[in-house]
Amino acid sequence: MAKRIVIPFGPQHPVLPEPIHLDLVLEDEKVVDALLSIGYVHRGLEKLVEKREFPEYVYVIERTCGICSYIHGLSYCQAIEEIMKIEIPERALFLRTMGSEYSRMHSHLLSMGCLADGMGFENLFMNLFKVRERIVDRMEASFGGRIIQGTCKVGGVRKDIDEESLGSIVTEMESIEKELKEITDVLIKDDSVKHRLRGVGMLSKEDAYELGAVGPTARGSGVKIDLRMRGYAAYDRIKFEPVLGTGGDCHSRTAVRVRELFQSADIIKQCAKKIPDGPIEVKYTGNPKGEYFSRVEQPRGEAIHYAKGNGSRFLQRFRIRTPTFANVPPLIHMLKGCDLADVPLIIISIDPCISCVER
Amino acid sequence: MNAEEQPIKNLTLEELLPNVDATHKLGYRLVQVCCTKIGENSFEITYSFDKDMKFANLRVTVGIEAELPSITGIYPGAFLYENEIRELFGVQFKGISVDYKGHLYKKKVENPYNEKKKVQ
Amino acid sequence: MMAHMKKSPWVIHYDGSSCNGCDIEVLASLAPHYDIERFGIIHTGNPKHADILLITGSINEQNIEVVKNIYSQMPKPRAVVAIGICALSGGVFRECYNVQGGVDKVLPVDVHVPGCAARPESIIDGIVKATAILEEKKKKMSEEKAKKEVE
Repeated sequence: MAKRIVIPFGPQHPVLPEPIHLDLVLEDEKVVDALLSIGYVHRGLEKLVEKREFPEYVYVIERTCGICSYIHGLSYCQAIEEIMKIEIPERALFLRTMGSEYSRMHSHLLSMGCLADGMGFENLFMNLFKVRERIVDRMEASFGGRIIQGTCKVGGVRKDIDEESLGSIVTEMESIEKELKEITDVLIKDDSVKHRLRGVGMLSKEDAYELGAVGPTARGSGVKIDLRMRGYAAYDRIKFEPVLGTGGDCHSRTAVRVRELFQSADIIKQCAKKIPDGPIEVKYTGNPKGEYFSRVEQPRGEAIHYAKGNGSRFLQRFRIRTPTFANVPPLIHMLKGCDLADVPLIIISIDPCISCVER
Repeated sequence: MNAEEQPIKNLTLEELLPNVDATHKLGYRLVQVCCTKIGENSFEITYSFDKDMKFANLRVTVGIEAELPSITGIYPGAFLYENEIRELFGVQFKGISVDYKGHLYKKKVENPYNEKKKVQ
Repeated sequence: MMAHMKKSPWVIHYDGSSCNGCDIEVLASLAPHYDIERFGIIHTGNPKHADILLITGSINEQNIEVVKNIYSQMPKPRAVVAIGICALSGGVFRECYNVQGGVDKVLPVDVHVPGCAARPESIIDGIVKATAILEEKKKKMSEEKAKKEVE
């Protein structure tokens, strides 16, 4: 038997934008066990719900994670609205859908950029970030911010998009799609990329389902979980099908993200055409009393926001189960048996968001 | 509004494992485990499951002295949830497959969501 | 504006307990649109190669040691840039039970970059300011060295 050694990985590591620590138990070059330790980003923001009134807690929630902040805000508002039975105007629902899809696009581009950087494909990283900048610019113009939008609020949204901008969103999206096609073709079809990603980090369909994988990690293995099919916000009026991969490896997960980029572009265009006129918010009175699990699809997968109100201005309990939290057990499963050199790529391929995990 | 049905089944501690096992056999996946402090010494722990967008919950209400059976034998992915609940609330679990023994997060307060419990 | 620079400073980035917002803005400022590389600044993963430490996010119980460790590995002269409101004071999270406060609780911070999330323009501004401080520190160091030699 080969000699066992333990290699610490992280928290500060060149390919990791965020701190996570793994103790990798190696036998020669093979990883036989991986022990995860987290807590470098733990702030305890769920507890803050006891100090912030429920309408202003949205600002804290949006800062759970800077990448999917829009959808975090949406999900929290949705939970409160369901408890208080607030009817949201149609136009606000469509605006929320568009915001979610924009944030999905920028998140997927970021994740692919990091993957390219992790492979040492610097050029691809730069190009992906160049396109991403166009999406972030549009988010700033139409949704209130580059990273943290602050647009969702209990009872609707804060910022409307005028007719003219809606037209330009469609034409701009078409040109972004053209640019994306060129770059993502490299990511999917390039031989060196394929060689690096194929067969790395295998996750079978059964394991993915059993271990509770969500999002592109699950869909890359062929598990059909896409919470948008539930039809929250305006998704029930939009035509789309969940993107599924078959390979179950890093390449398959990346391919799922690439196809989702074009799907998001399509959803945004559909929304811009279908969006009805009307108000964007409603007034409400009273305090939340009751509980609700708000389930939404984030760029990384299914997120659950659980809110429990006791009739006061302050919620009794608020909990977030973020997609990366659910993807950690599959990640550890994938790491067992892989080569040491593949560890960074496998970690990036689930698109980890550590500040989401630890909150 | 497109609110979904969110049935919650209240259980006693003994009924928990058989029910989780039955849910597993029906092909549900574990969505989350959540703990809420509802009274001075009363915690409700909710296990949520999903199958093809159908959402179901099991709930047990226990005191701090109770020791919950771990469901990691049925759903191996549950170890993080159980470790986190023990860390934040001080509710004990027995037989977690990957046991962090209270060292998942390093923090100043022992059980921040249940601060009245004296730290030894 | 970069006339004071004689060499190309390298930066290392560490994410304290930030929400990621500032981290992706740091990444964005490395990418072509904002392109910090035009100043000769390169991002490195190794603290032993770095001149400037960029920290985003606040300090909590667990990362306090990591931050100290990274800083102690950097060769002198070195500068610290705290990015985002969390790195200044804790920001919206300052009342959370596990947040100790801004980076200046542990390290001597040279430049504070405000914002939630800090914009790439202001991050670049902050790094450029830090390069000036780096030159000053270097000058001071060589003066002290000369003084010692005389003695």
